[in-house]
Amino acid sequence: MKRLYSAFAVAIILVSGCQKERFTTESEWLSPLLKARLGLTDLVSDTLLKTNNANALDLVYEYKYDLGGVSDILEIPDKTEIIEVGLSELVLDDRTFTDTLTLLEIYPQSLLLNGRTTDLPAQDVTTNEGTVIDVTEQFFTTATFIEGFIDIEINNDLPVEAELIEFELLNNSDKSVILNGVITNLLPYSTDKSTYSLAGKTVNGVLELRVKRIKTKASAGPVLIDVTKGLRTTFVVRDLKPDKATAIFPAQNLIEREEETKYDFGGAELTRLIVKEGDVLMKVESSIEESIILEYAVPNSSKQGVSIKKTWTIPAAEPGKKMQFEERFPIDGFDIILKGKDLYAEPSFNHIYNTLVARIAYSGVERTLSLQDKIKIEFGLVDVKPYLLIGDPGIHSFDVKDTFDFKMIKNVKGNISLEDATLEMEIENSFGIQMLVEKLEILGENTNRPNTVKLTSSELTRPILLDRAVNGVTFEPTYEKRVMDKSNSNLKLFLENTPNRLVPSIKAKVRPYGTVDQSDFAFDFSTLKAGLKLNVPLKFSLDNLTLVHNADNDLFDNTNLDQIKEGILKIRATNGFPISGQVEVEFLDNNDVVMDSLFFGVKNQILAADVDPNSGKVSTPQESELEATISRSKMATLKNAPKLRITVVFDTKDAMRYAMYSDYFVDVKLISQFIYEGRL
Amino acid sequence: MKGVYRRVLLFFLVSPMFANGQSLDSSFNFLTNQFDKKWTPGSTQLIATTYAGSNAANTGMFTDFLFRSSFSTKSKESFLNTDLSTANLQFGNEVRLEYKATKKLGLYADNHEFNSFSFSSDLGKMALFGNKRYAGQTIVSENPQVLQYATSDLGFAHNTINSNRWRIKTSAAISVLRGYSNYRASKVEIETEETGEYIDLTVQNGQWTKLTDKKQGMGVVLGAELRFMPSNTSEIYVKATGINGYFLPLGKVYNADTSFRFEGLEYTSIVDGQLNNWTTDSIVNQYINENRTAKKMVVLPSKIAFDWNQTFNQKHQIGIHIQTVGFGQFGNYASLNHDYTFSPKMRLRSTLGYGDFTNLQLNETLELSLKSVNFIATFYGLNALLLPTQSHSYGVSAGFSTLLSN
Repeated sequence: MKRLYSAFAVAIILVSGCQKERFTTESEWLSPLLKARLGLTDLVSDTLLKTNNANALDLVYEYKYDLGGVSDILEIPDKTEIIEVGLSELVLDDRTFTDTLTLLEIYPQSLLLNGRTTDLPAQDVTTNEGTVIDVTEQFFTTATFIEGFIDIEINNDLPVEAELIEFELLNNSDKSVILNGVITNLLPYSTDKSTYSLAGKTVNGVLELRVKRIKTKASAGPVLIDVTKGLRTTFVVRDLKPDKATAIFPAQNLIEREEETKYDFGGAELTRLIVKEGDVLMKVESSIEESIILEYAVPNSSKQGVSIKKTWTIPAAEPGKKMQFEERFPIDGFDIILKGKDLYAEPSFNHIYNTLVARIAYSGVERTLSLQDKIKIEFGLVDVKPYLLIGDPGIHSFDVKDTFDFKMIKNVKGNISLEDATLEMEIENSFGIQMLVEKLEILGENTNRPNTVKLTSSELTRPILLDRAVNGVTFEPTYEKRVMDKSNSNLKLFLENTPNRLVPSIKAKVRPYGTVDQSDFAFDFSTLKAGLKLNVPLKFSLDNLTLVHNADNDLFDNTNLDQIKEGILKIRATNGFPISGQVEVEFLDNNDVVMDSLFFGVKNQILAADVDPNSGKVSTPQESELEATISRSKMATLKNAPKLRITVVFDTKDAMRYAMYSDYFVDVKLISQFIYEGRL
Repeated sequence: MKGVYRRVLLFFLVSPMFANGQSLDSSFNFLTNQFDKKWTPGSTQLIATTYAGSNAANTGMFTDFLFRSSFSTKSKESFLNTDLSTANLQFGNEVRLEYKATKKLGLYADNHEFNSFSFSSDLGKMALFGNKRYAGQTIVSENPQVLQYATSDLGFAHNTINSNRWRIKTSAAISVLRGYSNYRASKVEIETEETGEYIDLTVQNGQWTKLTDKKQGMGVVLGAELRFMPSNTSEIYVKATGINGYFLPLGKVYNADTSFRFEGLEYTSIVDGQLNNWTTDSIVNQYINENRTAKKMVVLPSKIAFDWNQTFNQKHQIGIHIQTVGFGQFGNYASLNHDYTFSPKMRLRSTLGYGDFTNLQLNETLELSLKSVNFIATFYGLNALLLPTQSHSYGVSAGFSTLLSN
């Protein structure tokens, strides 16, 4: 058995060591690849071709070109203002508090005499004790004043004269003296009133009224004793301007501002603006520990009968922190008068009347506010895009030079001879502003040759004045049209250069002769537009007209084409055009050097159809077969080439000009006969 | 045991068509099927098979496929020059391990891969070597069929009757079906226009059933063998195996009964130099998609075989073997064999057979009976060594049986 196992092991080593090459089998396939029937409508965009009365085709090329819009004349700049205010206007309400020092408190033995009519002896009481008065609810918790007054009114409700009253008002917490006073000879049932300044003083809500000495005379005779009566003291705090206070604040305005904000429109003087889109910006930074109400308004504006008006509530800042707030209020569609506050007085343009009020609302909540608290408000109109502007646009000009691809003829070399062509140039003004086109120039560039031809015509050198558009029942732009053909221009030469790029250069003046009553206007859709309409009857001759198409060679990427080893590619064409074609496909390296070609100029001709000499129309389509043999070595080159270039050279039969008809077609069939390598 | 099994798989190939002859010497487990007759508990038999056969493709092509990187010109030309109406190709492999657990019961595992192609000879040639040679012709293939699958069975064998005259063996297994794909149609026609301008395709009653990728079917496989020995020198043997049914949870059948002409991709416009709007025959695709239905049950082809063996003396025995697969749909085969016993330890069987998936073939089988192990090797289609391009099937095979325990 050991020998047997050894034999197995040797066999396994031998078998695993001989990895067989992958098996491939070659098969030869004949197959159609694609077919197409191509008319001019397939080769040229439908929109470019028109069938004329003779059933022949005209090539019609239209291009509209904006020379300038509203934004080229003026823009609405962002205009914001910044206001920063403290609580200089911070107010506390006037408050009143009454306290009575009764006879019982002055002369306790009087209790025995209460209600009786008897003599009341003189009293001279000296004390160092006071009465605690809590006015937190009535006044505030604490306040330090810049200005303010306290009126102390003492009513003597006793039946005897008060010869002397000495008193002090202290903060109960730290016994700091707020004021002291002396009143003498206050007759029975009379009143004395003294006023004390609170400037620079800090007053707490819990006070102590300390009556240091009361001296009363004895009654002249028996008097009715009422122990509840005494010296009635009324405290009135008024005209308070606190520097800092902890209190329940009343509603009050911090800012009340009216402004005619001036806008600079770069020389334009505008009287009215209808906003297409835009915002009122309200940006607030506040350290005030109370919610602030902001009201912004543009009174001379309207939208469905309502003016721009917006109220924001800025939440109270947390102690020691700042509240940041930013919001935008859209004003799309609002009609704003730019004549300031009074529409019939100066200023008469570029001014927007607006108001801003910032206020504290009564919240019923105790807050601590100080004059160091500030609110910074940035506000105004931003990102405004006009729908309509009315006024004087000022002096401007359009000076436009641009380049655009002329798609009608692209990647073309060789010569084309046209029978005729017409170019209509139309300038459209949809501004309510007069425009003067002073210069109009068009260059046609053929970058393949390269060669540039300037379009020359008397129609181009005459200035073009376009009146204002009319905004009546219907909106009507104004137009000016110039027509060029071979009789008044070099248009034929211009087109036979087969330009693939047009370079128009136009200079126009806005409001060349001033404005009337500032009544010029511009909508957001207003433009100065140039329209080109080129009409080329498709009757032409071609002499080596060459179409070139460059592309990356991705034919073999991610496809089974990679397994094609060699073969023959056939193009069968039935040509109904009086145009012959010569096709070549070249495979290029990265430096555009030709690595190999498909046809090498052999069997690559598509023959032109026969033409009836009387009618000038094609009588018999011609059949052609193009054939490219691709050897294995060529196939390898084709697979490795990074780029390819397809070139088709067209010639008309006998170099004659022929009209192209809508029923001209070329039928193309691409057939392959390939040897394909299958892998098993 | 696992290592031995693998090495045997790599190194030996065994024919599935062992003829069975009555033996006067009980030492040949394979050629006389003593393995079943003795039914010794603990005995084990491994049979591994790889086969490839065709009535059209020649063995030169098989050799090219196995040992070269492409077809040789000679074998390719020989294939293309065959003049047959139908081309059949069948290849696959099977490994079967059986263990006698008791005097009555055995356990077995079987793994089988099967690939069968049957269509007109021209269609086969076109599929392999392209349609260019058929330009201007219409290729017709009646009842083409392609069947591919793999099964793994695990079951038991029962020693139902085992006497001197009669022996009946039955088996049953559960089976897993993988990679099932079955294409068939009543008729397929392909016409390539002479210059290649179009290709016409017609399919009548086309059906393609397949298991969704990586999904499996489950089924049951039954088998029965009947041996009758009318005398001590003759034996008749009837065997029906692979009687089955499978459930396909995600099976799909695509129906196609249509014709269309392909003239290449068609485009309808060019805009700015770019080809746009490529089109092909979308109606055909839609038709096929709309005719996709679920198929939950399939039956794989089973095999029925008949053998008659006659012993003349201690040295010589002859036999006849006839078999059909899928009731003839996947092959009929008949052979005549002659056994020569050199000694109690060595017997040689020579077989001359013919089948519609093999064509004519000559096989030589040698069995060695050693102390505790029997080895067998078969050279299948030996005529291919002499006439490779005129032969259509071959192989080399081997196997062993032994007693693992008493």
